[in-house]
Amino acid sequence: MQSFQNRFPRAFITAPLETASLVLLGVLYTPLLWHWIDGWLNKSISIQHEYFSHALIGLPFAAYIVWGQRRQWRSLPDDSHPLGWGLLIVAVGFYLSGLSDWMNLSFPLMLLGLILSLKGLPGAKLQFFPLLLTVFATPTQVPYLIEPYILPLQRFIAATAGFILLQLGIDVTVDQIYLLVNGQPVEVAPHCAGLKILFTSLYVGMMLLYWTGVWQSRLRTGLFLAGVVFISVVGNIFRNTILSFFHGAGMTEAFHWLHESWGGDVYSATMLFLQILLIQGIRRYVPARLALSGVQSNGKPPSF
Amino acid sequence: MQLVKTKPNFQKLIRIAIVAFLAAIAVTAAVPHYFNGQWPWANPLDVAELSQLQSIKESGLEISGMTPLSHQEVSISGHDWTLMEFEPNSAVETHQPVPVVTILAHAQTWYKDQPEVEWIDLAGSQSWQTDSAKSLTFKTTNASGTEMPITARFLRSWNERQTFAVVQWYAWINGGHPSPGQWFLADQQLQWRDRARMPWIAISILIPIEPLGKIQPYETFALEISQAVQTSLNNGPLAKATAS
Repeated sequence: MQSFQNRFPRAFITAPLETASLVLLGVLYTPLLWHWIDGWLNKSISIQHEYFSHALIGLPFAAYIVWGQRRQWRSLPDDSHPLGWGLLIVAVGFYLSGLSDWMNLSFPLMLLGLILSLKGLPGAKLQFFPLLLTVFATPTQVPYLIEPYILPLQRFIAATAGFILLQLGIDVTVDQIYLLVNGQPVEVAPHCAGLKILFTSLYVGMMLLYWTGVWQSRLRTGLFLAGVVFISVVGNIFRNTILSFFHGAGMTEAFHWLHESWGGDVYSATMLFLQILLIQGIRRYVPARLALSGVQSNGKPPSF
Repeated sequence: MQLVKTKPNFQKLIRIAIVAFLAAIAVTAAVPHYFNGQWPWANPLDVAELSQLQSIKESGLEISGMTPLSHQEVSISGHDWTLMEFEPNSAVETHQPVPVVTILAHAQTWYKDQPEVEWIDLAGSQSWQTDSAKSLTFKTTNASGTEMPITARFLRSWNERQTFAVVQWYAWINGGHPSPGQWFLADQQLQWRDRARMPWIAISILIPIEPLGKIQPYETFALEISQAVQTSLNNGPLAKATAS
């Protein structure tokens, strides 16, 4: 506490505008962020809001990166980009609207606006990744708007889960997105279709790509992201298969355990653990780039 | 940008002005809430028409050109729908006489209720196969004479028992469309303009036709009924509630 108090006034001298901006951001957004966190921890806002609960790790990680880059930030020349002023005005408009969807959106806009206003485009380039983490952590109605379009994925998961159950000798009928085991229907709903776990997987995958430096290789990044989507979809097929089986066999407690109790958390943790294995495997066995020896002997760097 | 870079004093001034501007916003827009505790998200906008919407549950709908036969509550995928049966007064010529028209209506129950996958839920609960989908557009006017363009989807649905020509749309004040995204836009507009939420009712009209028959001959009939249904909604459940 002592060292913090000593450092605080000094920060005002070395980077007065940044420090003042941070204080103002804190005044404007601390209650809103607290509301978000409360909504994620207590599931008290909406299903759409819960889609963004990965922010609980994403936002602290973004803050950590920004803090780690503070020297690079300070060494950038002062430069105010007009786009930043425009963004700030829009962000303030959204903030003043008092409409919660738009107040949420004002947070990343305000951050980008401030960065552009203080350090111009080089500043935005430096903070690109933390900004990306913040944008994808901001609760919006995007999941609601895309849910109607993932019907084919729901059908595919229902059909595959039905196929697996049939192989196990279980009497199952698949009707669109419904699995009927012993006449008990289970609906593969949009959020059950793993849209939530897919979003979380991609978000955590993004953090892993940054953390390990794998993002510098387009080949490894592409393979990894394809792998993340694959793991998430396959995991979901198994999850829905087991859920339909529990439901059809009348194992209500087991169904609830996997559907909404800590069984779901075990499932999510397994998914994320598989991702870590995947990125380690890619780092060990996949080269950073596909280089043909003939091209390399030319002395030219290989390119895609 | 070049212009700005060559004037360091202007640079410094604009940066200070920006922070001062933010400070002004923080003091006027955020600080008062710290004292009264009334943050905007603690009091989300409510749907003013909620109690009107529930009238469908209690008394069904009155639709011109049709005699009501019955109305009852049914549960479809865990949601309450009102199932109403009507006998059309045969003013419109159809391929073959339609003895009874079924209308299923599901109105939102609270402000967090948003239209989602009602059409899939309904098809799933009836084990329907569907095809021949196309859009129908029609216009109705509300009590104050505002013209409302409505889009609905018109399709054939069948199971082993029955084939229907089906019309479906989400009805809201001064509009209607089968896609939840269109309701979302209308809702956002209303939030910005009137600081109110847009109520909605999912409507499904079921016209029984001959087994696996074509729906095209029933299109005019379907349009007439759809128009009559939306008009009835405009004047009843979806009449704009005055802010109290």
